[in-house]
Amino acid sequence: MDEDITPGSFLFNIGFMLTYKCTIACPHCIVEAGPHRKKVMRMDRALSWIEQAAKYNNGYIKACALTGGEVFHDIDTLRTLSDYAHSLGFVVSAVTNGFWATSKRTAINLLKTLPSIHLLCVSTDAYHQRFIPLANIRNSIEALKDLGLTYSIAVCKDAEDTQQFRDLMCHLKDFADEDKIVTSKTFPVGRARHHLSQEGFPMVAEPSRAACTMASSPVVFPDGQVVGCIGPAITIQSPHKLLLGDLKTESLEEILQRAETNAILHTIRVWGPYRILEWLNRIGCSEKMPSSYMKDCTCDVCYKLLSDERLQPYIELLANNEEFAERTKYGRLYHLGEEEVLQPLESQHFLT
Amino acid sequence: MSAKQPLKIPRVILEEMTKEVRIVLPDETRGLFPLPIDLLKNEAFVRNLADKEFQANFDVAIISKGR
Repeated sequence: MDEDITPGSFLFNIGFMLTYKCTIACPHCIVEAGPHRKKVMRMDRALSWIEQAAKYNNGYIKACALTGGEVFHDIDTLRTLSDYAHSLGFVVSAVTNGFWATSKRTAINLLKTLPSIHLLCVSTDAYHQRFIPLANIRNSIEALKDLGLTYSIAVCKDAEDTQQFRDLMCHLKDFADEDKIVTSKTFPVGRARHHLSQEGFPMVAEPSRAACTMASSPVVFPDGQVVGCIGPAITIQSPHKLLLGDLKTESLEEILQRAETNAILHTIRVWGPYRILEWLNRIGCSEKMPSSYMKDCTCDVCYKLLSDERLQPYIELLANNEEFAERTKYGRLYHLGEEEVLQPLESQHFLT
Repeated sequence: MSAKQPLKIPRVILEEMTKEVRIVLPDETRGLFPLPIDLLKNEAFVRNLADKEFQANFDVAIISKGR
């Protein structure tokens, strides 16, 4: 293992999206999970893929996130997979809506049966709270604290802060540490595409110029698809450069080694997708560029770029442009300190 | 990978990059899973990890980065 790997490094963490089943069906859910959904990751595949992740580059990947859907929907599966991931050396995290935390005692008793989960992220927001009361979130956090476990609370908010959001944040701070509460914005894909009005999103002419932090962690889906992030790109059906591969036809090692040299992916991480827009303009497809963007939303820039089928041939050209790949390589070194993963880029002559 | 030559950024490109400001927005992450960043800065936790190599490199990182 290279000594410079740090949280936030590429492939520090890998996600496994285990199930589309959920106890509830929130109107903003990006994966459209719900009680009616049936698709889950087959156990034999999950075990194999977790093992492949553990072996990748001599244990380079340090953390494994189990998400869904609601992974506490099937406790036996969650226990089996978290125990297995932990036994292979992973730091294991999981995400839940807290439906099971009907009392603090109940929560403590359940969490004691899941000793391999080191970090639990509890999701709550105005949409979740239509189904899961705030008391469950309090019970789960107090139980986690009593057990000495690490936690975070994920709160999704609309484009503009509402009074309901501000009230919720105040309530959460009654029992949770402020630095454990992370917020994200709803985005009009998945179920939110049908249920949330896009008029609520302020639009501007200039794209966000921010880098993406989530594209450092690929996600494996139940059907074997590996996607470069857990954001809106997971909903794009047509081929694009953040669709890293398919575990039904390739090994995880092959997919991740190719991702190491994916200059589009790493440009998004180093500078942000706006940088790809700039390069696309340089190679002459400015007339195909989007005319407006969601304000301060990097995901929107990425989604607009990758979901437009007309742009994909140009993005593919860019991915194979030697100057673009070189700049990305130097950007990774300068901004992220990632020299150790650059060797394949030189040996494979930018064939991404 | 350990035997490779260190990558050197050409001077012209380096000068360009020193002028760049890398921006990360606080609300951008989607929250579908957390990154255990705090946990892996926790020395007591790292000591209990099964991965002894990671522990060794954690020591290196503490020394080299002054954390």
